Amino acid sequence: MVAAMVVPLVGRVSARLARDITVVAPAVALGCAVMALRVALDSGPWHYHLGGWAPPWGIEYVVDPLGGGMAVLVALLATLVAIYSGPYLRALSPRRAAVFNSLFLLLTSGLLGITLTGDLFNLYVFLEISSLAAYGLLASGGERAVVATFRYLLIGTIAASFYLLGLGYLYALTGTVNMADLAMRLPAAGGGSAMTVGVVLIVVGLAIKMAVFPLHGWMPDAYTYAPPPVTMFIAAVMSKVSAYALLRVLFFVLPPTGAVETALSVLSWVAAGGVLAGSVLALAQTDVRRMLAYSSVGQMGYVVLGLSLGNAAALTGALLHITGHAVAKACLFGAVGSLPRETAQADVAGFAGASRRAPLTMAAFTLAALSLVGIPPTAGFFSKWYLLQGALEADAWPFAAVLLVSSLLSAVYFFRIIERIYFAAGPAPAESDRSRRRPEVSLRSLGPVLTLGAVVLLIGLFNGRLVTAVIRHALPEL
Amino acid sequence: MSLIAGGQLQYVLAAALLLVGLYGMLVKTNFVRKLMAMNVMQVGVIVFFVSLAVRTGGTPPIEIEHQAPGTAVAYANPLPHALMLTAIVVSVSTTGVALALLIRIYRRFDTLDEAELLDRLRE
Amino acid sequence: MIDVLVALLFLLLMVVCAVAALRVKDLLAAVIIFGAFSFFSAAFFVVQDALDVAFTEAAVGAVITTVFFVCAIRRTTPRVRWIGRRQRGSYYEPLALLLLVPALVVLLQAAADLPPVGDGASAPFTHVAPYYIEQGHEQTGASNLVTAVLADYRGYDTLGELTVIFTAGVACLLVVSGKDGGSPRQGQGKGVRFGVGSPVIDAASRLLVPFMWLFATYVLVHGHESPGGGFQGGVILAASIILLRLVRGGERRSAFTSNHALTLACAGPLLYGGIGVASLLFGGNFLDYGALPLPLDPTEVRVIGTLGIETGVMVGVTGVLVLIFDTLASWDDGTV
Repeated sequence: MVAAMVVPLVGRVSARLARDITVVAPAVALGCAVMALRVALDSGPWHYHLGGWAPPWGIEYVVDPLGGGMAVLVALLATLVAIYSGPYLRALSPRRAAVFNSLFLLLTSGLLGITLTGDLFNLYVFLEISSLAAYGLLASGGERAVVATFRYLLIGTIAASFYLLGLGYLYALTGTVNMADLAMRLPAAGGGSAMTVGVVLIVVGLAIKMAVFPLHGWMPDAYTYAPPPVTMFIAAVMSKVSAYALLRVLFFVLPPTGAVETALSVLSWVAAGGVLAGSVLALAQTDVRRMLAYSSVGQMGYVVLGLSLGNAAALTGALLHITGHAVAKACLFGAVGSLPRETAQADVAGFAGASRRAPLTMAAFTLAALSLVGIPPTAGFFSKWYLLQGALEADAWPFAAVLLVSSLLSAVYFFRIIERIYFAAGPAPAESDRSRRRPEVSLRSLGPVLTLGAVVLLIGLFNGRLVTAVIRHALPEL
Repeated sequence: MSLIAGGQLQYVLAAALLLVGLYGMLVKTNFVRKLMAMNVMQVGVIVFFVSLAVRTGGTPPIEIEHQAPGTAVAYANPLPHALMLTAIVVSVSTTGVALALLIRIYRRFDTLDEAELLDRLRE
Repeated sequence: MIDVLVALLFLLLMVVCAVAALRVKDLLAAVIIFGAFSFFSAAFFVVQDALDVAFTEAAVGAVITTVFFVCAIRRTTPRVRWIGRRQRGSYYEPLALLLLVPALVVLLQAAADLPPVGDGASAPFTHVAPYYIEQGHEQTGASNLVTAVLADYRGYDTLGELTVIFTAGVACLLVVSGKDGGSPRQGQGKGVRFGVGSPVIDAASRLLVPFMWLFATYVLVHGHESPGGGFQGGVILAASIILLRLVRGGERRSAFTSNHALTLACAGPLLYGGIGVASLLFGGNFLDYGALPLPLDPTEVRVIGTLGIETGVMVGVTGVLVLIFDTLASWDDGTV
């Protein structure tokens, strides 16, 4: 029990902090998360009453396989990104680096808090912690980043306010904000338009945070201009946690009434649109990071599609995709970010011949890219497979078609890059480099990227195990 | 209107504030105005919650000492109040960060207007 | 009946101010009107029996937010500050209306389904809240039920809230200090050109500050029994420091530097979390004050625990607000 409490508390950071704590803390959190997940899987979800007050009067943490799994994912990525950001931070003044680390830890604790809490208002508080930390981190990438972040701030605040207001409606109908309590009382509260409005508000708020099409406008700019470690972490994790929150609310809190069903079917069409739009827009980009951002829009569309189809296979696919995509995107952004300074231009042209200059990094990149396209035996293939199954089960032929078409599209834009990496002739390394026999990139940057690439492969290879051991238990009863 | 009779006019006004805020954020080009609109919107949400906590003929949720036993006092609901305290703090935090961002934007681009900024970015 | 009318009056004033703030041509005037908006909000909250909310809104919304806004735009040129006819001012009005008018209709519809304002039989009043109302005083020792909820029953939320504002402070630090810059105070240049220069104001503020400190401490400690608590106390304390900054000419002339502010800002949450961890170590759940081994009866232990965390809140809030102010105010140092 104590262990789980330490997990979200890692954000207590002082100004004079050394870099090392930033790495150690998420690692500790990771350990705790894994432990917590184990317990949840073995003996069922466990509840922790903060302040010693039982819900619904107090706030509780609920660790079930779903939340525990997400926590593990977040903590793992946080640890890896913390290692990765080492070289980047060395270039900054110590004070600035300390502030950066502080924000990073705050972001991590905010996200972990979201995954573990059983109280909807508490979720809002942690959502804001994560958002504010994210704004600070994203804006540190230079002037354009500041503009993008400001826009994100405005939209993000609208989203959070919607969520809060929706929560208010639900509270008005039931008198509680505890998730389990709400689940019990909402069916009895009748419904009518107040409930519908509440549901819609919460869903829209979370959807904006997830960058679901067509509310995704803030995302490409924000991801493109932020510093590499930041994008790596945020792209991988933030929308996933919001997706988790959506999943929680839709399936664990709200009753399966008319309002929710309508919301789900609207979502499914929107998601399908997003998948296509994301893929098409990604094609049009020359800057790799922007392309990856649009690809994320599409990928989150898959997740929402899975959520909205609502059957076991689709949900499994969605959860598997969340995991796989988080890892893969982190790997991709990490690889892009770690390219040597000469190729600071992150456009496709700059990748020419990269396989010679950074062979390992590019191998990981390719692996992750393949996963996003959906080629076996990477993780992406299996998650799409489940999604496809789910779509067919639900007789949703148009969606199945969308899945296939978008996979083709993503194949196009990724192979474009892969081709340049391996087959194009790149600029010869500078004389000084050759004489110094410069290593590829520093180990700190390389390690995490390689690890992530490997994980992508592992998830794919062992996906059966993953599904039966963890994901099956995380699914809601349907 | 039935809404007024039903004692729900406050919700309407809260909604009005919310929408005024949203409108301001979408329509105005000046960033500072957008921020103010954002705050208005957030206050709208707070008004909503506070309205939920009101008790007709009630009193603020602070226990009155020395009551004769058996008297029931109608207190306002303390839970939304506590939640909204948090919301106010969140609101000022966000505003602070937003203003810091604005200062950077102004320093670099010499404008606080979105339309102008987009023009300058395109150059 | 009369208070319903008064409440509605204030609401109307709020809406008027909000609209005015968005339409006035001079940004500085708009900010002041926005301050009035906050003030009327606070008044509205008072009439609605939401005293703690009113207090916080008045202190935080009307004062701090306004000060922050003014800080941020004071160094902008009039060209930027005056929305004249040259600039468009707004766009896509029909599009926004297209979205918002149906939204208004929907919200009106939904309002009909909500429990009428003041209804004592509605869900919020029959579930959870009665427990707080009936047991709150006995269990937590606080007469102020809002404090009971905030600091004890939902103490974890308050820790989160403190973290939110702390995060904002840290984020501001990172944002304003520029790409490779140092702290906000490193610029040697013109410095923050505050300093009103009038001996009257200087003397008046010097008189005022000790009272502010006293009041802040009172608000903190008495938050148990009357509206108030750590947040409000912290805001008042921060306001007194900001006042001195405004009058005396800036952060570099003050004994309480940005670094001190940062330390305070960190110390606050650490204290709060520390109490929580202490509870853990003594066998209870996190933030369960009852577990603290103090030689007092259970309710009093909770009171002490609450006081402890509220102090943490106050310290933290003071530090963060001064930090944010310094960050916003020192930007014309030329620190890039």
